[in-house]
Amino acid sequence: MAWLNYNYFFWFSTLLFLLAIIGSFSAHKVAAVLIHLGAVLGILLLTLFLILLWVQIQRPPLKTLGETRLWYALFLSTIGYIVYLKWKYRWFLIYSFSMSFLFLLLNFLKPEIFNKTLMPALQSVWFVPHVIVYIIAYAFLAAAAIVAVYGLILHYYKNDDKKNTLLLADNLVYIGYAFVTLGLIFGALWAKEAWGNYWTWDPKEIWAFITWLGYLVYVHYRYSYPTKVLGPLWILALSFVILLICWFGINYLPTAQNSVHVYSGAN
Amino acid sequence: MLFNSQQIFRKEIGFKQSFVFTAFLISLGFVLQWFFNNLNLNILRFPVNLILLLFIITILLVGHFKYHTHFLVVWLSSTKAAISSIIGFSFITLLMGFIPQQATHNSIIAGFGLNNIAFSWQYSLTFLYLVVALGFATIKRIFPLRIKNFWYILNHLGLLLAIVSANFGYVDNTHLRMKITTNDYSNYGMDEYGALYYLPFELKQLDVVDKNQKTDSISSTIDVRKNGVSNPVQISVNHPQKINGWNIYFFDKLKNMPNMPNSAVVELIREPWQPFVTTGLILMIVGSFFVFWRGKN
Repeated sequence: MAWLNYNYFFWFSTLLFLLAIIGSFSAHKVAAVLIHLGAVLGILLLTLFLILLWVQIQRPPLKTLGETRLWYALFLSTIGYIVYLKWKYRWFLIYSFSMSFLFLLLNFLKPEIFNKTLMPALQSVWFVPHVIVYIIAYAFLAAAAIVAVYGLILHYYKNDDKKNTLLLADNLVYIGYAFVTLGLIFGALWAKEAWGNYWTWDPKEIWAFITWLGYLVYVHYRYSYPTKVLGPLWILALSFVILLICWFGINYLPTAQNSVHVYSGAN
Repeated sequence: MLFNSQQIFRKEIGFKQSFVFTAFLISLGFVLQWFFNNLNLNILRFPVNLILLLFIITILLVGHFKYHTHFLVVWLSSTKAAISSIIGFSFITLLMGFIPQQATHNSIIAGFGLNNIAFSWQYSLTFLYLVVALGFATIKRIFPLRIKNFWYILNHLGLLLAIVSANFGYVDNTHLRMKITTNDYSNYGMDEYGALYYLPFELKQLDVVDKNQKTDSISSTIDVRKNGVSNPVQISVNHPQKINGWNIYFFDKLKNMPNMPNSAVVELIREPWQPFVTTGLILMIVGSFFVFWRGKN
């Protein structure tokens, strides 16, 4: 199965991402080539792996935590590269590629291989859009969280409140927020089809909803106080903590023992 | 100081006061919950919920058109009310996220309704605050109607429609379990409180499961008979059937006992407010494409 070839993919993608990261530290012409080469080839290789995996396990690779990490690594690096192409933020490229690298590394060290068929309730047309949309959202919001941490470091260590930092965060949040909204609604429509209820306050629903509310606060706060910097940065950082609880933190909460959303091999 | 003299003079409600109000509302909810227990939602059954809703809409419209300069209306239409109500509601939801929502022996948790928050006073009051703030904000952008507010209206009206119809319409929902067999037609189901409901059609299971066959399958073929006319349909997980305003869901296939007819359990659900919830969600889907496309501007 495809997971067995994972080592090769890992070494090649990692190497390419590493090239891009190294390239980002230098202003030399060759360095720019390294960035583009590393990013494009690394992203393509990861995409190819996901397609192969999908074909081989004969179901969308979106169920186990290990599989979602792969998508996350793919989207995070893609977003980092697009943001770099558009705004030329090298620090952003370095961070997003390092995050991608970290997720690939996690999969390498702890692959969580499960090759089981999906439980009946997951065999739905909503499954792929619901999960893909969420992973894209998470990737954008992680990118926004990176911006927030960067902004907070600037504030506390350099006493510098750059307005531009928040403008970049705004762009990322608006896209991420749109995807979170879609993911939440697709989930509700799917639940209606599978169980007859849009919403049952399942622990994952609760935390997904709190995450959505967190970014909703950010959007409204930015709208009301466009010149404030520190407040929005903290709201962003905190919202991402909630997102992380929603993503895998709930696996450890007493409220989530019977949730269909807990990632596990027990199908 | 909660208010400074300028604010009192202008009767202006700021950010801090909005939060104090939210905290007050939640505390009031806890007190009411402690003394009166859960709200009896059954009194809200149709048409009471519709009347209450029309009453709220009237207040919002009158407030907007007649008293739009009144400090309360100005405040409730502002982002101060929006943010404080969202944070208030987040707090309530956060409690749900940490405290298991199930029967408990802990008298403090049960007394404050913390194990059944979605039916508590604190939930209802914060929800109402959210609805009023969202309502005023939406109406403000609808009258007068401007093209540039299009995506704003889609998102806000969509959310309002979805949460209001889902919450106000909740009491009108009927969820029934019905056991069907291959032996005979059945025309009644039971709700979660054990009350019997008779249906305008009859159901019978058609597919016979061999006793050696595994019974953990996920679909069932049933015959729907109405006024003597038969209509065989297949229901399975993720593929319910709609008949006479009822959605029929596959629930479970029962173990095939020797010399006994095959049987299954289906779930019948009727949610009269569902079209409004769906409309709201669709508006939000379109709205989120705008958010994605247009970003902040």
